[in-house]
Amino acid sequence: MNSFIKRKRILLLAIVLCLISLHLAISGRSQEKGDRFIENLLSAVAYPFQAAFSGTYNGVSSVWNNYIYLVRLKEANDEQKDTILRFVEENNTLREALHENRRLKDLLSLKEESRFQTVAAKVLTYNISTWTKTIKINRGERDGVTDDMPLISPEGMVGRVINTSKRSAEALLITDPRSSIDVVLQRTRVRAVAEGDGSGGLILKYIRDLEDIRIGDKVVTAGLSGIFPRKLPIGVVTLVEAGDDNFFKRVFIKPHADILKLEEVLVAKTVHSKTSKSSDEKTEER
Amino acid sequence: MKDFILLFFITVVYMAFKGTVISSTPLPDIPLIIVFLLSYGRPSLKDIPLCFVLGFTVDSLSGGFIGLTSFTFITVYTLNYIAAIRVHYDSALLRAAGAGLASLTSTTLSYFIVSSLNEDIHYFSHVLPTALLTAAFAPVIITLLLKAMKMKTFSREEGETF
Repeated sequence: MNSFIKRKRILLLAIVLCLISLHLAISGRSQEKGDRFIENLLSAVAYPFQAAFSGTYNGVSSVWNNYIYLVRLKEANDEQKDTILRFVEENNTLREALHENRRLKDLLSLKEESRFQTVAAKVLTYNISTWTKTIKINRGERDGVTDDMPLISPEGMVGRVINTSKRSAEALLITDPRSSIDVVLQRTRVRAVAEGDGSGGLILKYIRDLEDIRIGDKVVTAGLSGIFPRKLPIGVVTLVEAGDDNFFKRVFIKPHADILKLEEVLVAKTVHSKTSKSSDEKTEER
Repeated sequence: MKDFILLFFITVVYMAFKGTVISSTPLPDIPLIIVFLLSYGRPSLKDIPLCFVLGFTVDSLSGGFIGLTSFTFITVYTLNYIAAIRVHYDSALLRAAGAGLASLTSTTLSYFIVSSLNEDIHYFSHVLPTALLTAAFAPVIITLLLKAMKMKTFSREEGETF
């Protein structure tokens, strides 16, 4: 018996750790609260590298966009190269500032209009693997960010926080297969659950075959779960198919927000769902 | 222990790079290439916990399903260790083919587990490009890893057998 274990110890250990890993993956241990010491430790180890890469990348792209790319104009304008270079450089700097201003203005106006307290955050990393879609933002526990807080961009819903550390937080994007949001179709008021399909879109589930769903229908949050605020835009219907069971439809949605190009997001810290709900209901009654 | 720390840090740096600089473009799967190298290089008992730790690190830093990559890494390690009894990865072409196959095995296993949790995911997004890139870069990355780990010999007799 001992010799058998000794001979097969690699295989036995592999089987044991395989089963433990499989159990972790299927039971979704990562979603449990208060049991993330190792993940937070790994996140802390990786943070300096992420910050360094992110800083270097932003620096290089900024230099490229602001200077090197435009230096080529100099070759085409030999006679007035000094003047043009100066103007182009100034122009580019202003253009960058204008774009940034527009983006921040959008965020600010959303912040002013929003029914909840928000904190602006920069996207630190994108984790876009084969089927999982998450981002890391530069706001964490010390900024009051906690699990389940929704992430919003000027275009609409982006995701929710799933893990926080002191200086950063990880957020599950709405296109991740683990994401599940209660939504309502604006035109028909049909309620459904929007799940990420893992490849940049969402799928609406539990819509009966009898319901009237058309391409182009807008989908907004229903606010039933208490996590997401009501009436935040999610996306538009791009494809409607009959389901395999002839009972539910398969409805595909393209998100409003360009999720792979997010630079800044708002974290909704307090959702005043009751207040907004009552005011919304009053409006509907009128 | 030195190799353990080295490979762990390579994985952390790779994940940090992937998440910040090239987030949406497929990259060669370096942690998987490490697992592939360990499985036919100098297999030993400590490789299995290392595969588990690397997988856990990948899952944790990518925000993925915790345990999923650990499972696929250990499975790939085990399958490839058995395969390496007959196939000797002594040429660049064989290493490329082996790493590409390991990548396909890993993503297919992941697909089956993820699809058991959520039926509506697409198999081919990123799978083939990642496998091809992993295969293409595997020989170079393996050579660099061997230099970093100062592994000189590859002999099945040195390792343990099932």
